[in-house]
Amino acid sequence: MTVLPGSRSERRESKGAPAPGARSRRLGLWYVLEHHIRDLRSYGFVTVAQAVGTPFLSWLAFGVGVGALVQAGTGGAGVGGVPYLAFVLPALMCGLTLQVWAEDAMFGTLLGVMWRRTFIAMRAAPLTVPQIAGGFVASIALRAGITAILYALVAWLAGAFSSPWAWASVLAALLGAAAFGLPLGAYAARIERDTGQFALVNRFIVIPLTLFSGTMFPLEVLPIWLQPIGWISPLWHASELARATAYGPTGPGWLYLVHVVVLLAAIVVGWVLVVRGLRRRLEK
Amino acid sequence: MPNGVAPVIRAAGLRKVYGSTVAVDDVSFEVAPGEAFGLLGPNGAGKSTTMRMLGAVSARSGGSLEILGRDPDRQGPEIRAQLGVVPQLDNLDTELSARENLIVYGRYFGLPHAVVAARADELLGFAQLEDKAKAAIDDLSGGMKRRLTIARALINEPRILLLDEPTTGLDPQARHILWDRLFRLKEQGTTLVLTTHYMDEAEQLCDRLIVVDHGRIMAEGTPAGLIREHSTREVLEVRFGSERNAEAAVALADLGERVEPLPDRVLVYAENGEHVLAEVLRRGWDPVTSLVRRSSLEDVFLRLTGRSLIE
Ligand SMILES: Nc1ncnc2c1ncn2[C@@H]1O[C@H](COP(=O)(O)OP(=O)(O)OP(=O)(O)O)[C@@H](O)[C@H]1O
Ligand SMILES: [Mg+2]
Repeated sequence: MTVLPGSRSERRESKGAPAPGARSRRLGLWYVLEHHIRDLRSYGFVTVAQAVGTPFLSWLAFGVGVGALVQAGTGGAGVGGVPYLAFVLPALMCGLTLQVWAEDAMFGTLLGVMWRRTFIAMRAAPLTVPQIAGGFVASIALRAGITAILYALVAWLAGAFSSPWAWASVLAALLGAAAFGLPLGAYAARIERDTGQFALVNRFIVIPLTLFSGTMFPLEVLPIWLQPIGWISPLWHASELARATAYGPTGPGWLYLVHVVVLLAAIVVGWVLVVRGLRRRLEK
Repeated sequence: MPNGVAPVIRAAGLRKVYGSTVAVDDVSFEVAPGEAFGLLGPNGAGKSTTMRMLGAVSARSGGSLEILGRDPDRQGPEIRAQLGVVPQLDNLDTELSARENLIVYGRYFGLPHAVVAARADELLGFAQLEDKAKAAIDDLSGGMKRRLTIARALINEPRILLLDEPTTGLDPQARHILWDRLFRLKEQGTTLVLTTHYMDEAEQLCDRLIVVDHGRIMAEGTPAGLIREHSTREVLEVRFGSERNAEAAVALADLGERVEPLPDRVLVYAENGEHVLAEVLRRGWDPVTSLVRRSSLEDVFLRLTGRSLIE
């Protein structure tokens, strides 16, 4: 019972002493991330099981099942010059990473502003909204990153990732996931009442994106009027980048630059909207 | 307010508007260091909105505000670094244990791990939650969660502790434990600002308070001073049954300084309640029940607003 606001002397502001909250001003984002990492520990097993289990199931389905059919149908040529499994795994990795980010962005935001109100608690401390948003996004990137790395590792062990640049497919997956997840988080920050919006987002945005983003077959196979879904889909841009890094580019170099620029643009806009959405929520 | 001491909170003409709702209309007050200051008012009076502005969370729509000598609009983080906040709605992280909640919160203030760990253990003791250190938040009672939230608010050794309805929803025993903890803080010199709609809480804890309604200050003073100023020493409460209360109030109107007919009872304000009761009986009005008590802040509020604090 001795420390309670007793010893005031140490706190008295003297000339030259740092302003109150100076450390939080510099390191606030890290403190927020530290909190989220503690929370993440209880999802650790799920994250690992999902990241390792999903590519294994994909291997069974697309390597042994559908893959055998495709290999036979193409006379053993595969798709895009590689076996079907090698074609499909980089894109499926991007899809899973995107799903993990989307889930965390949506539920994490609602937990923070509405259900557990942990963001409101943070805002009552000397933390700022960009720090709260930044630490939160960093924690999502961490979980999504672990997912992508483990997935890539399993795919590599399965022999699907042949290029020495294959490790960079993890970055492609993260770029795609962030380009979709940040704007989704901004939307979640505006939800005043949970009426099952996430199920809708999942059914009508995430799943169609997965189906029409050139994930399981090249986008060019689709009729031209369906291809624009792919063009606006972060998943398509990310998958193309992931494939190029996993087994080598199949298109002109400028096209890959376009993929990167589109994803970065969506990330920048998404970040601005996330901060704005959380400001409205936490500073009212 | 003691003379010559710079106030830690200075609010003048404070105002907050949400769209067409005026949540806080015109509120002015000062709080001296070490003082326990209360905002007493009914639901929707604007207490929480005022507290969020004092906590440098919500920007004011008008007026001026200075917390610890700083403007919350420009130096929010510097102010918040020196505050402890107990919000109306608990916002503990249910994913973490009681102790972990204290630790992550302490880190927000930039305190080293060793310091937050030591303070967390000390504060768990202060909140009488030593044996709950590892407990999940969902396994704590309402009173324990409130105590943990207060402990969390103290982790940065704040200069001002803001408490928004610290005991609402708790049973009497839990409230008394909490009051005891707040008394200790007060003894140690922490400035307390608290909102409540319990008059007994305001009387117990506050050196000085404002009565707020519809975002405006209805009265300001010490609990005893307010009662002296706005009410009589004693109150006679008599019940005649819901049909006869209004009629009785008219017939007894001359007996006290003031007579207040409520749906379920009649209040007669007088210096000596027993004398009034004798006169009521002499006039042939035979109440179902009668009670003489001292005036409280509830009576002050009724006098000022014509309404009860708790509907
Ligand atoms: N974020 C907000 N947006 C719109 N209106 C709000 C908001 N917060 C508060 N209000 C309105 O402002 C008024 C004052 O609300 P406030 O929460 O400050 O009252 P209170 O005195 O704390 O009440 P209670 O005792 O119920 O907690 C109410 O009419 C409320 O509906
Ligand atoms: Mg309130």
